Amino acid sequence: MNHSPILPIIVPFIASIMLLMMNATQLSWQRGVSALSVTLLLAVSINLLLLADQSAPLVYALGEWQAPFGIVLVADRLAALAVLTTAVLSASALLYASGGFDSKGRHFHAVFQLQLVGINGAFLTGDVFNLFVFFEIMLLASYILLAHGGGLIKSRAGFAYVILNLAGSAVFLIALGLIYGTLGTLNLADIAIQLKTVPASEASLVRLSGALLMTVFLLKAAVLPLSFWLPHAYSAAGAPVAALFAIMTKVGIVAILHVQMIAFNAAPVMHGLLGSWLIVAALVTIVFAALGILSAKSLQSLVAWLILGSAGLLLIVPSLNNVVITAAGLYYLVQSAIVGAAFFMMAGLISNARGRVGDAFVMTTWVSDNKLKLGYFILAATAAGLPPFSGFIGKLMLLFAVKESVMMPAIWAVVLIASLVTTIALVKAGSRLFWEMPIDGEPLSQERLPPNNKRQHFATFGLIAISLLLIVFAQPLSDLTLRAAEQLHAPEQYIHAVIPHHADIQRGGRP
Amino acid sequence: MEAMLAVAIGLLFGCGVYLMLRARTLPVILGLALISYAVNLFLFASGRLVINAPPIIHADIKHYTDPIPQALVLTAIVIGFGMTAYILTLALRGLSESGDDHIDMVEKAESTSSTQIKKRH
Repeated sequence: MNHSPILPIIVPFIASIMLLMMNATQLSWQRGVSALSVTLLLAVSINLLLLADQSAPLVYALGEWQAPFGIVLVADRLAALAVLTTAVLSASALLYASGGFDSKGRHFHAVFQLQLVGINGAFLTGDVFNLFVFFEIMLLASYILLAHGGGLIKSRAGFAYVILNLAGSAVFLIALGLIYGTLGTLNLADIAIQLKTVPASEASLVRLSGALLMTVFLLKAAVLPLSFWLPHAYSAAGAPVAALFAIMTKVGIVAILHVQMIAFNAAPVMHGLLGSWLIVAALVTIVFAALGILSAKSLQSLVAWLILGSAGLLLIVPSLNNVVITAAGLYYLVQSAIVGAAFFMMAGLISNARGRVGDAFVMTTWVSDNKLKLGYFILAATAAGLPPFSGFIGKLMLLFAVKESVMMPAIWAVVLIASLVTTIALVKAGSRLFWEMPIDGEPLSQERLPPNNKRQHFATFGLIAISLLLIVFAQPLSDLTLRAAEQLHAPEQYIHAVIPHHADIQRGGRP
Repeated sequence: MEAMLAVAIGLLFGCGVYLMLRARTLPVILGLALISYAVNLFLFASGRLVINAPPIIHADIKHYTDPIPQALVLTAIVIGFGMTAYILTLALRGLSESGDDHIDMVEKAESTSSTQIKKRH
């Protein structure tokens, strides 16, 4: 059996345990182990993507227990692509954090690695209860990372974030209980098989379980009535933590895509579960995020609203349910995660460069560093979707893909107006951050600023460079996302790879 | 038996939701704990209720109960326990930082000035 699918989980897991034991050693050693782990993670994720780029997904049965009785990891193209994106983000977030953020509290590196275990596990698992466990690992690590650095704002945002996610976990468990109680399985491929033969007496319970499951994923993905937590939590986190969080809303979207495409699409009992209303919720989320971007009072909270807007845009994908739209959505997913993370780091750099006022939109001294202005310009143009940057390509692909849909006028109007509003808000924010001076020309504050932090600069501009590479390599990447979308929309391959002979499996009756 | 379990789950859920809507941190945490108990009972019931039967499938044993929900409940209990411990410490930190156990953790004017005075000394 090929062990590649487990490596993106096991590498950070071992590093995390080592780091917990190394707590008494110097920070530089911990940084070294953490960096080594992330480098290895990058290597194994690239390897996994190369291996998974074939027609049938890679299946890894943990402990050789075959599905549907054991837990399996399934690396399809979507999961491998998401894992690679996580690895890239984590490498730059870790480099940024090594510039001093990790010394603000204990256990930063151990928890950081644990967060990677949770995210990668949630992408790769092929079992819905295992998905719950990895979600909880991811969330528990994110609670601790969110509070890292301390302060009342973080405690307040953290408390609300934790309560909301615990309530979400309760709903998740109820959905899983209903699924197990009615279908007798928790393996995603097996759920897909069992869904085809649901007796009419249990149809409504099964449909309810599907709706509850989607509700939880939509909470993680932050669709409108369930999205009020996101701007607060993401704007309170430290810059490198927020950068890593940029991938976390994507975990919810990838989970929706997997469950929807593999199990629910072909099942008559789940017919129309998401179709008609999710598109409306997604569009309302985009409008809400655009209003939030206009009202933001600091750069980091503005970026948090941008992340919400990109989540809304991505939710068009599961609601319209078509190969081309999914392919465009996956390109946008990778692109928006990288740009969102880079933007959070840029907010951290600008905040450092402005001293006490941080990244709030108030008048202060000049920011003398021209590199920061250039970086801000690139990121703002990308986030707003201006050509020739990668945000433009992502949005253009998505807008072209929805051309056939009946919802086309609504989607085009909302996305384009929201992009215009975003552009205006980003222009206003940039001019306030970099150009605005007190009327008498005297700088308000004369505090001494810390010198430029090389690691933080390198991490941020490295990620910006990757976002530029997404323009150059847009064609190969969009080809890859197209293949990933085709694989998602042909679930028979996935099911066959996980359970090759499902007719031969002996199933006991209910006790 | 089924009816009793259903009523117990419903009662725990009702109390949990009521407590979660309170404005102080400790009742909210208690409410979450009650909800997690209700969820655990619910998960347990997803394998159907069987009395006096082992959770083992074996050729000699005709009367058995489903072992998987028990394993699921065990996992859920462990995770819920860890979460409750973490959120209690978070609430305590909020209490010590804001001087109040209100859910919004608004910094009080008096407490701010008193901490500033303390810092100065």
